[in-house]
Amino acid sequence: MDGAIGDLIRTAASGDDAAVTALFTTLYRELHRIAERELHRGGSQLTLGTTTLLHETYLNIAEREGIQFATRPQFLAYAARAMRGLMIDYVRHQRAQKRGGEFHITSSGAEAAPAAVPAESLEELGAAIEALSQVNPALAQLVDLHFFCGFSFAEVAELRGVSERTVQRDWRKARLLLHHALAPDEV
Amino acid sequence: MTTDRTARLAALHAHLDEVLDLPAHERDERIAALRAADAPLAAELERMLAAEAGLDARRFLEERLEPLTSRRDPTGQELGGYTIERQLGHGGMGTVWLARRSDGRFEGRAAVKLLYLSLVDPAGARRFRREGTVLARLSHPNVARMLDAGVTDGGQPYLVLECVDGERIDDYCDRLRLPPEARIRLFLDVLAAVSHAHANLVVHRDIKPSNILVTGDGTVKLLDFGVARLLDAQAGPDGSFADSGARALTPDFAAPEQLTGEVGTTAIDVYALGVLLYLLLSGSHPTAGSAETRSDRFRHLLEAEPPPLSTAVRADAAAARGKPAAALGRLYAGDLDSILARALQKRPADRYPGVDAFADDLRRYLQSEPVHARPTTVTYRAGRFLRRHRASLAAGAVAALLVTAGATTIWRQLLAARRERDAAVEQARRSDRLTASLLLQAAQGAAGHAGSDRATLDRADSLAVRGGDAALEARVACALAGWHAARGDLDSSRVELTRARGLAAALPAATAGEYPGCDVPGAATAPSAPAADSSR
Repeated sequence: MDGAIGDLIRTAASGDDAAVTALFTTLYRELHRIAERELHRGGSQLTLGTTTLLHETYLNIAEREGIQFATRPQFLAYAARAMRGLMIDYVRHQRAQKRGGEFHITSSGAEAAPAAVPAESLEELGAAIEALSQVNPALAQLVDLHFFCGFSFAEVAELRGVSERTVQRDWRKARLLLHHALAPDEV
Repeated sequence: MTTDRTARLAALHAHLDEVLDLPAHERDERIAALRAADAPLAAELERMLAAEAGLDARRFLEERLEPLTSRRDPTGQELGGYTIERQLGHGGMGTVWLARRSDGRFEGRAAVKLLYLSLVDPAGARRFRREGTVLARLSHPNVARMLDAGVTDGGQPYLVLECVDGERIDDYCDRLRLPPEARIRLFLDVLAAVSHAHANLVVHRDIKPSNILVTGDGTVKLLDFGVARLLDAQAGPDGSFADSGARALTPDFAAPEQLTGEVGTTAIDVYALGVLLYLLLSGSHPTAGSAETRSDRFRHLLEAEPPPLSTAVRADAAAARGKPAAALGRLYAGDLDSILARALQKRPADRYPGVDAFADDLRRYLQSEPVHARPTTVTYRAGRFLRRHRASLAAGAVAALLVTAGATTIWRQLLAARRERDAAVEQARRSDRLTASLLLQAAQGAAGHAGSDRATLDRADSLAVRGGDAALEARVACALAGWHAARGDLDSSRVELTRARGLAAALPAATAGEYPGCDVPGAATAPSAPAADSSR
């Protein structure tokens, strides 16, 4: 028996824009809440990766609302979009604060130096993903899951019930289209 | 502007699928054709594709965004007597960190795994700790030790594991260009490790090359033993065992019954070990197919018969095994084909009854003795015998042996065959008993009688009967009684209790003393359940 969010996922899936917006807002709030809680839970120094954040949000909501496991792929797709919004907002916030907010963007590689991701380019990327989602929602979702939420191709393949090769091919397409959308005149 | 961009993207997207996989000249042809119809679009498509090489170089969108607060960095944190030093990597289950003993008394490094919170249910923390203690008792030179498992005050589940500095077993074999025999010897160390765990009722359930490392001195170390089990310890109160099993599953190494959601037994490890040996010897995967979707892949795994090992040697893999592919094929034909076929049987019951039987056959192969995986025929055995003693047998002696291989030889072989059959039956029964007790544990573990899974209990029941273990059968009957009682079906509960008591009464006194009484709350308090009262 699904609760409000389960209902929203179903209504959103049938193409109801209001439900999509409501769902997005709810998930955004939830992600934000958990991120804040983790950040302010002093003492215990633990990594808070986006993947963890997303999984925990899922767990929280699923537990509270009794969401069926079957709706998990849709849930994660919507939540990944909310995560993209959250990340972009954080970077924007960080820029506004000058001294830097609590989130700190680094690359996920253990040894690699933090990747410099200027807020402007991240916002532009967000806009390009929105455009891509009009053309092919699955490609946009893939970028949300992989780039913003740290899902591996294997995990996305598992989630979608397709082969990893299919996901890699989609990624190739998404990357080409996004790059082109960001710099159409560059050769 | 946005609609502009969207429309352009849509047009490009429509053509992208057509040209993406084409070889260069065909791609050019296709774009030329498009140019005739829509020149600006063709030019744009070309520009987009031309940028692809540059994207890799610039690592466009390759660095995943991962917000890490500096305060969140676990470096310096102390867990289970170890202090975290730096991150080693991250995988599907969590992040891995290098740690050093906090007390400084011993020179000791460890790997600390911080599991993703979504994989474990915070409510199961106590159980997680208890299971961790069981696993920490596994002690074998080829098993990377689990030093500690627990949950921090902050709710983060963690594992402290022996830090193994090594190389994946397949990479190691290929780098050293180990010939098949050396690979089999190394694989026997893997089997020894798994056998030790099975003897301690721990099934690995996720055996794959990346979980098996070889250290600098050539020692095999199995990693992540029992991690699947720790995650199972978190199985939901509805006994969603199969679901949690699927979570830790690597499809390429999963046994068919794992895919259909059956409960994990030692036979699962036997299968995965078969896949591993097949890979080590041939360089290819036994059920590798060109399946596109996951369901195709699963169906392939469930139905496709692996080609005989001797036909699966990849030409490019042969070099790393020190022989041409054809020579490897000839070497594998026969015994190794049979051994692998046995390990990779679709039905668990058709596989080797345990890893020891698997190891035994491989040892026999190495010593040119007859293997069990093959139908025993006199000519086959004579062939083995000849191969084994080839050096010491003069041609004349061979001829004499063949002539006198008369009644006595055949009689002796019949006796040997019968002994082997009896041993195999006993081994199968032992495996049934082990499986039954694992099932019972699994069914009861999650949430007591009410939460245990009926199908699991039924399977445990039939295996306990087949394994001929009355005490085990009695315990299963008790669990079934509890299951019925929890659902208010007191009549069925009483039937099971009566069966349990009958079985317990027939046990030798010493065993009966240890026999755990039935703890069936519903049945015991119900006034209409005298059978339960008397069992107390």
